[in-house]
Amino acid sequence: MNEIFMNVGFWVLGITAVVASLFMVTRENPVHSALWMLLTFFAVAGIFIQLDAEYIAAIQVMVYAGAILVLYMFVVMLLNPKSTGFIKVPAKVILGSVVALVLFLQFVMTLMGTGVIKSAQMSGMNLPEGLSNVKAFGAVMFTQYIVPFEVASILLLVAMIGAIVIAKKD
Amino acid sequence: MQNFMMNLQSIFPEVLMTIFGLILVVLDVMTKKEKKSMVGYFGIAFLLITALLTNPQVGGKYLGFNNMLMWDNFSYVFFVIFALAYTLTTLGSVEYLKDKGILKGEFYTIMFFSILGMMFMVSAFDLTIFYVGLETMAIAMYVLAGFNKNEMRSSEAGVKYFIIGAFSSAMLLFGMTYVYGATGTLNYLQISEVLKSGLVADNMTVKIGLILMLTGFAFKISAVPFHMWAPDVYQGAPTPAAGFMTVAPKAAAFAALIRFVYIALEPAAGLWVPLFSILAVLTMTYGNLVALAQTNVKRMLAYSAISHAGYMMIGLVAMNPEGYRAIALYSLIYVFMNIGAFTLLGILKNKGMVEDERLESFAGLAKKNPLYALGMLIFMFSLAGIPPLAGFIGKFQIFMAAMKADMIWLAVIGALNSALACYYYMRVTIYMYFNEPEYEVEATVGRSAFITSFIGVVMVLFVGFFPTAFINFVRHLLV
Repeated sequence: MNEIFMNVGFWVLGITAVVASLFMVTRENPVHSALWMLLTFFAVAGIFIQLDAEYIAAIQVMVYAGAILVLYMFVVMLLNPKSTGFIKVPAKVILGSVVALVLFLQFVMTLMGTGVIKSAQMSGMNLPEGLSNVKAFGAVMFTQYIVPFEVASILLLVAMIGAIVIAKKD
Repeated sequence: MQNFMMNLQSIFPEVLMTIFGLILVVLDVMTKKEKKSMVGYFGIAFLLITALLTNPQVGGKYLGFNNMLMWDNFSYVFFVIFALAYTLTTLGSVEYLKDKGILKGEFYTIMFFSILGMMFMVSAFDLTIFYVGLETMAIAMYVLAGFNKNEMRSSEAGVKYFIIGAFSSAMLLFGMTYVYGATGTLNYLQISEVLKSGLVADNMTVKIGLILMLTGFAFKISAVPFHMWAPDVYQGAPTPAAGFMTVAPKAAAFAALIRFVYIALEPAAGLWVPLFSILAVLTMTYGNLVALAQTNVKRMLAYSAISHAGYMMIGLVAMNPEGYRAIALYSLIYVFMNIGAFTLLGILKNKGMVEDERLESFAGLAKKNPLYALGMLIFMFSLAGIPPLAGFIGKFQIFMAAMKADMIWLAVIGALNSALACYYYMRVTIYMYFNEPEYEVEATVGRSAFITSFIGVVMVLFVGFFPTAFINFVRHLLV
């Protein structure tokens, strides 16, 4: 029974994510695009929760849906675009999309034939005894992966210096 | 305790560099506005100190942090290459930056931190460290490309580099997730073990992952057909930054790629060797053919940088120690000749009518600035690989490695390509020595540009006549 609920949930979230991202790239008004992107983020976060990755889901909502999207909105509002409705799609683009879709279906069929999709069965993670998801994540992050974690701080420092150099008025 | 010492030794150079980088940030605030080149000179001193303190003895290997970070001769040689690129770029950039009104300490600070990122890329034994190192380097490069924000071209280069860089990084990451999903590990040694065990030999997931990752790498080393960003970025970036970008990040990407494919993908050689052989042929041939048609020397050098990446790829697919030693040697030589050429290019100015770097600007320079013309001639001959100069030694070693690996066809294609490349390098010298000037051009070799090009010329001649010094330097490399 639980299995069925999970499956239904996955299909609902998955289809929402795909449809919302499609709407996102076809809107001409950037504000609408951003709102559709928000929906995509939430749907993807839901999928992460289904995969027992609550931490990633929370980060997805907080960082992407929270911080990054707000930033996008600020930029969009500052630029103040006027147009609305759909992007006008030229005929050759539609033709190209059809070709791409056919190719994609062929890829999927080939992959199905080789059994990749079957072998990529989703299964829950094996968490260490007595640790919840977030705790396990943190434990690994600050022991085994301490070096990349620290290098990331240098990365952010460089990005900050760079942003100031590029954006500051002389 | 033993473990702790090993960890410390493996990360010591990077820690030292981080401290020095932070000191540079502080120094930048303390120097006066017109003395910002001091920051760069301090950077050179810091690099010298690091290079002296961190030299591992021959065969010394410090692998720390759960086999994630390695400091050995290989990392050290590539660190020296980055340090030399930084030194020459810094020395040669002062007048150019002052002239364009962008002499800021951040130029040097960011370049310094980019070297730190490159060190992590080269020392990484784990995909996570490799990736954060790569991003540190890449972000620094985006900023350097767009550093001259008063100029449209430079901003365009920065944005273009950023978008393509983000795209290729995404591809690399996507590939990494597949590899991780199939092998269950990010460590090079463990990936190699899993691949060797044959459990995932026919698994499409691994293959898709590796293809995506190698495509990402191909973007970073600007291999054809993933090169389209390179000419615009190199042409738009401030000339000293372009010189640095054609040398150091490329060497870093090659070194990281060597580590990854020789250690992690060694069991899967059947998959990537043909791929990179094809890419090498395409890159060399396309880069050279398109360079033939260029009338802007900076853009021509950008295409020549693409074709040089193609030559280096021959060393990669040779799949023997000679191959990656030849790549290290080639990068080392390339530092001197390419940054030298870019420095000389940077001081060429025509009175603002057309692009400074047009081929016609070089006409008749030999009569007006004989020293400038001589320097440019030596760099061009060396880039073309004319025998007594350093460029020849580099190419020779690469082709020898290919011969040793029974890839004679690849060596032949490489040799034919360098013959083809002679045409466009020679054209610059022909313009300088045999053509009459069409318009007023100014090429005052200032003090700093003189020092850089002098070092470049001396090294190119020295290595050309006495190659053993450099060959000994890379002889003991082992991934």
